[in-house]
Amino acid sequence: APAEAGSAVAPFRNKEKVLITCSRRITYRYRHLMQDILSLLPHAKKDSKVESKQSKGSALNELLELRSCSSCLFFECRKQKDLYLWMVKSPGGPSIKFLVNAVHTMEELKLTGNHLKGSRPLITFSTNFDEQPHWKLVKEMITQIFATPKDHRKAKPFHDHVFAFSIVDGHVWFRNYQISVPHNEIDKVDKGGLDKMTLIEVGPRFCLNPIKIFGGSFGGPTWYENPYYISPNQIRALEKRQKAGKYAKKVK
Amino acid sequence: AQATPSENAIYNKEAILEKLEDIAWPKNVDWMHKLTIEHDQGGKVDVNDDLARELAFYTQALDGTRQAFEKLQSMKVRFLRPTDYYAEMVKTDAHMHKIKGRLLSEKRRIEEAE
Repeated sequence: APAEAGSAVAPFRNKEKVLITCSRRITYRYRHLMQDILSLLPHAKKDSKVESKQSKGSALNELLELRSCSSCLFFECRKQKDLYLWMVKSPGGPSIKFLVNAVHTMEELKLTGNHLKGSRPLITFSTNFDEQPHWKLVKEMITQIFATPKDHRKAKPFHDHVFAFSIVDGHVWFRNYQISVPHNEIDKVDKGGLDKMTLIEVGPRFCLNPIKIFGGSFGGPTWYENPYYISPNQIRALEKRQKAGKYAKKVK
Repeated sequence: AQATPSENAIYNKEAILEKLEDIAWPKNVDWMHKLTIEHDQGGKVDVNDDLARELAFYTQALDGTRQAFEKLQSMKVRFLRPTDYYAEMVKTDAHMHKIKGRLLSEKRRIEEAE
């Protein structure tokens, strides 16, 4: 803390550390998505896969303590096709469970942008995050987990990419763009450069559908349930049932 | 996807807001720590219209970046990458080479078709 009188409060320091891990038998695309996110967060550590069973919560909490991490992104893959993302603050909670949709990884060739590894991202949010309590919580958690801490030893001091988090149709959509702007100096863009600025998408892409919010870290009381959520199992069952009737109708 | 929302879904707003206060960073935290910008989408975005949706995300990011860059410039800090600064990128050179190859072959295909 500074010695001068009057400034008794220590200056804020962001010491966020994110643990990134996944469940066993995750598919390669989802694993690549996880690795893409890992490459975007220099303040993240990766751990080996965790068995996805009833006791995974306590196992993950133990792991978080062991690795002295303050938050966690846990990619849980079920049935080799459904991906769930747990966004967790540790040790006091809360936890948010999402279903992940519309995944594109950085590997795909149509996303042509690129940026420095470890440069701190600018983060943009659509304003509808501030409309409801659960979205406010989601926004704060995303800010804390996805913002690279200032002066982090692995961070580079330039800003050449931007994240977009946007709520559309009750889902959080994520995009990552490279910033391309004409500049000759390092503390200002060229005259009129802001108008010539363009963005080139780097990836990955994903879309998060919130399912539940819990009060604790990987557990605790349920505080929010998405009233519009239908599990992928139900959707598949419904599709099957619709298909099943076809032949009977034809015969009639 | 579902038309009618389930009626007995739990929503404990008080608890959520209390927790939010608990975990939130101090209110007066310097913007340099967060680097966040809010953008108003202005009206509803149609999810099923791919172009409109992607444009909304692009506009949000572009508008946000312009605002952020103005802020950074007014602070007189170094924030743009010097042209002679080389360092590790998120995508490897080999991967960027592949992307370039695809772009070129696509361009050639279009030219041949003409």
